Amino acid sequence: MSELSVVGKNVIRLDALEKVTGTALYAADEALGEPGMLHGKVLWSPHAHARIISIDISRAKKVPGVEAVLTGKDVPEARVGSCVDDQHMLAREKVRFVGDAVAVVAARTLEAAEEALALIKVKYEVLPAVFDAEEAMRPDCPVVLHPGLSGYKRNMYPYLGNDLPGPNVHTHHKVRRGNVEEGFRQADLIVENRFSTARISHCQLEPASSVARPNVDGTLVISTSTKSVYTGVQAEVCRFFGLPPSKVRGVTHYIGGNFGSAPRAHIFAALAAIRTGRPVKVVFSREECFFRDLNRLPMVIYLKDGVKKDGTLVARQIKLICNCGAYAQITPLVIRNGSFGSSQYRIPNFRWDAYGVYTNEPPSGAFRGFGNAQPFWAMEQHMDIIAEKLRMDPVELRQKNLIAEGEENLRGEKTHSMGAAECLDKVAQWIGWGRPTSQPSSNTVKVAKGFALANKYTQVDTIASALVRFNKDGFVDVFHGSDEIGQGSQTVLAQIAAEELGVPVEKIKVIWGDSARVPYDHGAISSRTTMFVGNAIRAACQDVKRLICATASPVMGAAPEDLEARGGQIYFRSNPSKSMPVSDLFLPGRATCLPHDAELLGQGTFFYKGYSDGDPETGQGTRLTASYCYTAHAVEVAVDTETGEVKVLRFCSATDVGRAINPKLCEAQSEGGIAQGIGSALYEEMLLDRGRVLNCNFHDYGMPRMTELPGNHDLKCFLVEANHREGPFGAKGMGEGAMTPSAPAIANAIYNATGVRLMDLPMSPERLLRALKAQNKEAGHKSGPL
Amino acid sequence: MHFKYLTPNTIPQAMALLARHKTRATVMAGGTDLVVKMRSRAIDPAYVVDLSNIPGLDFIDFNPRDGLNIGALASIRALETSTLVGKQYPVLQSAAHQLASPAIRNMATLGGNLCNASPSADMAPGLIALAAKARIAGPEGETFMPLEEFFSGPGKTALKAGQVLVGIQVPASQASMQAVYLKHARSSIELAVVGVAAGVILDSDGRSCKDVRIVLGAVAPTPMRARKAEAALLGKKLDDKAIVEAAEIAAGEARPISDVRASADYRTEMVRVFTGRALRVAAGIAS
Repeated sequence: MSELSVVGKNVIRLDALEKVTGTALYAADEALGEPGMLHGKVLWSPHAHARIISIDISRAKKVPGVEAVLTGKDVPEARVGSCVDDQHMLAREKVRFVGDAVAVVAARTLEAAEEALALIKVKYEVLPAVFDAEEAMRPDCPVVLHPGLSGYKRNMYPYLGNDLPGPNVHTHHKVRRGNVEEGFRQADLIVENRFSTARISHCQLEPASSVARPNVDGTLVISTSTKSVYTGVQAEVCRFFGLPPSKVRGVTHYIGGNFGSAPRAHIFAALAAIRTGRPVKVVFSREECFFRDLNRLPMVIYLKDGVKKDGTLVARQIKLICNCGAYAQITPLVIRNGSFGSSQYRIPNFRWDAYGVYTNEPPSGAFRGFGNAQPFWAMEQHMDIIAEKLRMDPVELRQKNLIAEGEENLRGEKTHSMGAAECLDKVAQWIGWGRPTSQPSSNTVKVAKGFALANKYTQVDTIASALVRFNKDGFVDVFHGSDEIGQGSQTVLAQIAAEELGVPVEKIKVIWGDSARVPYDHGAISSRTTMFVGNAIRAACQDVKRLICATASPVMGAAPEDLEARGGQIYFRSNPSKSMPVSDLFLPGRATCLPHDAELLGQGTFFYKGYSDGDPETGQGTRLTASYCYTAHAVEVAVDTETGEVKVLRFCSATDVGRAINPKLCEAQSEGGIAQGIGSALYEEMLLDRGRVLNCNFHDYGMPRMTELPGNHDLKCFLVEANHREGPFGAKGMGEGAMTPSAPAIANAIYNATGVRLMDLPMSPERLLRALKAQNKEAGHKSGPL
Repeated sequence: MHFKYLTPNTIPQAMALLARHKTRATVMAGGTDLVVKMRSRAIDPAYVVDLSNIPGLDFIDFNPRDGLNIGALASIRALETSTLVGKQYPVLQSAAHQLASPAIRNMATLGGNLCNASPSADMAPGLIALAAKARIAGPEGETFMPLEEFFSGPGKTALKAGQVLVGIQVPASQASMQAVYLKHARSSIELAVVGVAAGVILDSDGRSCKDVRIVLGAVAPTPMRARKAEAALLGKKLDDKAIVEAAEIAAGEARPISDVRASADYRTEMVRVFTGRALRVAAGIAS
C-alpha cells in the first residue's frame, strides 16, 4: 500500500472540543423546556409472573395535568419483538418479569405523571414463576411463560425455533463439524466442566432518553439514545406500530455510552405521542436501566474437550443454556453469533448446542462481545487446564491449535486476516510469561500471571450507504447513518474520507444521526462501522472523484480517465505538475463549468455479495462473518488468601485491528474493554431476588472504579495489524473484542496464584475465599490420617 | 415528593423548627446521604431543615484541656486535609480518607456521617475507639454523650426531638492512643463490607496493653465495640498469639447480616481477619 497521510495517525477526536466545553448535545438535552411537551412515565410490574385481573385508571386520569393513561387495551393487538414476536408493548393478560410494562402516563409535569402512576390500581393474581434456566428448560417445567410460543411469528433466523426440547425454550442453535464421538475416542485426554456467567448491566453513564413528536404531516419524529437511527428506531417503530418508513424519522445526538444496551424508552414515548398528538419525553432512571436495558445474557456452559498427548485438539462439545428472561428480544441472535468465537482453533470434531430459555427474569440482549465473552469464559480456562494436564506451556498449546491464514475454520469459512499468534506473543512478552512476577508472593498474598486469547466477529449480512459532497471551498461533507456512541467512529470515518480524497482531515465534516437526512446504515453494532461505513464512504469518495474528473474533462481538454482528483486539485495523470483546483470548476461565466452553487455529490454503498446464512442443521457456511478481531489479554494479579480479594496489578492487551485508522482511539477502546472486562470478571453481577433486581444503582452494583484499574506503566495496549483485504485500508472492527478474554485471563492468573479454579462469575472475594477454604479442607483430608 | 425546605441561621432557630415539626422534619447538612434516601423514597420528610446556613459550625481545633473539637458541619475533606487532625489523631485523617470519593468528601460533613447512623459509617469506629463524645444542643441546653451510645439502630440516633448534633469532642488523653481504621470494601469509594478500628495504649513497659478499644463497623445494627475481645487483651502482652485470640473473640461478637455486599458468614470471617490486622498495626507489629 502506498504511503498514508491521515490513516494511522492519532487525529484528535472531531467531537473533543464540543464535549470538553460542554456544548455537545446529548439525548437528554432534547426538548428541554419545549412548550407543550408531555412527560411520560411507565408503570412496571412488581411481580415476576402474574395474571392481570383488572386495571383501574380512573383516579390516575383525574390528576391535574394528566393527558393520557394508557394500558394494554391501548396497544396494537399483535405481539411484537426483535427475533420472536412474543410481547405486547404494554402487558395484556400477563406480566412475566419484575419490570414488565403495564401502563404509560403522559402528563404536563413529571410530578403529575408520577402522582398518576401511583394512583393506578392493578389487581394481580400472582402465578408461580421460574428463574433458573436449567429448570425452565425441562420438558415438564410446570411454569410455562409463553403457552402460545409455537404460534408466535419469528422475524429473524426462523430455523432457530426448530427442535425445541421444552415449552420455555425459544431457541436451539446448532453447529456440527466432523463427529465428536469419534473425536473423543481418538483423544488421549478428555476434560469436562460446567461453567456459568452472571447477569451484568451495561452501566452506560447516560440513562435512556427519548422524545417522540407527532408532526402535522403525520410523521412521527423520534429523538432518542440509540446506536442506530434506522434499525434501532425507524424500523422498530414501524414494525411495532404498523407505520410505513416514510412516516417515522429517527434522530439521535451524542449519547453517554451504549455497549449494546437497548432500553427502548422511545417505544413508550411514541405510544403516548401517537395517542395524545403531543410531543412526549420519556427518560429512564438508573434503576429502570437495570431491568430495561437488556443486560448481558447469563449462560450455563457445559464444555467437553478431547485432546491428543501432543496438545492437538481433536474434539470439542459445548452445550449452553441461556437465561434469556421473559422475552426473547435479540437473544436468539446473541446465541447464534456467540458461536463464532470457537473458530479460532483448529477443531476437526465440533458440536455446539445452545438453548435460549424463557424465565421470569429481566430480558437480556446485546452486550459488548455479543454472546462471545461467555463461551470464552469456559473455553479459555479449558486451554489452561489442558496445558497443565499435558505439562505443556499454555502459550504453546494455543499457538499449536491456532487456525492459519487461508485455512478453513470449523464453520467452513476461509480464514483471513489472522493476527492471533502475534497478539499472544505480544502479551506473553510484555507480561513476562515464564519469568518472576513483579512482586513476590507472601504468606497471605499470592501473586501470579495468566492470559487468554479470544476474538469477536463482525456481522456479515448488513449494508451501509454514504454520500459525499465536495464543496467549492474545498470542504467535504460526509453523510452516513451510523451513530456516534462514544467510540469515536466519526473521527475514524473522517480520516478514511480524508485519506481517500487526499484532503486534510480538518476539511471533512461528518453528518449523521437523522434518518431523514443521512443514507441508510445498519448502525453502530457488531464492531461494523469502520469496515462497512468506512468502505461505503470510500466508495462515495471514489464516486465524487470520478464526477470531478468527468466535469473537469472538457475544461482541461483531457479524457476523464486521464485525470486524477486529489487534495482539491485535478491533475493530468501523464503530467502531475500540471493541475487545476477543483474550486475552479465552480467559476462563474464559463459555460463548461458548473453553475456557481452546484454541488459535486458522490455516493457509495457497501455490502457483502454472496455471504451465507449457515446451514440450519450444521451451522456451516462459506461466509458467515465479515471479519474477526483477535484479542489477547495477559494479567498479573495479587490474591489475598485471607479475604479472597483480587487486585489486578498489571494488564496487557494485544488486539488485531487489521489496520489502526486511529491508534489512540483503538487503544482507548482497548482500555475501556479492559475496565469492563475486569468488572465482569471480579465484581459485576445483577443480584436478583425472585426476579427483582436488588442492586439496581451504582451504589450497590459493583462497577470497577479508577482505584481498581491498573494504570500508567502497569497497563499496555498493543495493536496488531493483520490487514484485512476487504477493510478500508486493511481495517476491521475492534471495539467489541476488547473485553472477551478478560475474565478467563484473570481466572487463569488466580489459578496460577492459588491453585483454585473458579468456574462461576463473578470471582467475588467471598466466592474465592470459599473455594480457597474448600481447597484447604481437601488438602487437609488428603494428608489426613496416616 | 413534596417538602418544605427550611434554612435556619442559628442553632436555636434550627432547634425550634425541629421541635415544631418533630418526626416530619429531617436535618440536612452535606446532603450526600439524605438526598439519595429521599430520591429513592426511603424517606419522605415534609420538612428539610438545612443547617448549612448556620455560621461557625465547621471548625476544627485542639487544646490540651478539651482535646479535639470538631464542628458538626466540618467537611470530611477538611478532616482529611487537616494537619491538626493528622498530627494528633491520624486515625481520623485516615478514616476520612477512606470515606467515599473526593467529590463526596467535599460535600459530606462529620455530623451528617454520624447522624445518618449507617452501621457502616466510616467516621464512627475511629471516633469511638478514641472515646469521642457527641456534643448535643437541645431545648434543655448543651449536653455531652459518649459517641458509642449515640447510635440506636440503622438510621437511628439517640437525638430527641429538637436536639441537634453540633460537634464532636475527642479527649486529649486519647492522643497517646495508637489507633488505626481498616476498611474492607471493593474500593474506598464503596461502602464498607467490614470496618474495624483498633486503638491501643501500651503500658510504660511498652508491651502490655493498658487500654484497648476494638470497634466494628457494618457488622451490627450500629457501630459496636468488641468488648469481650478488648477484655481479653487488657493488661496482657500484645503479641501475635493474644491478637489471634482477640480477633477470634471479636468475630464471635459481631452480629452481621447478609446483604448485596456480602453474606453474614463472610463478614464474620472478615471481622476476624481485619481485627487481627488492625491490632497488629496498632501494636506496631505490622505496618
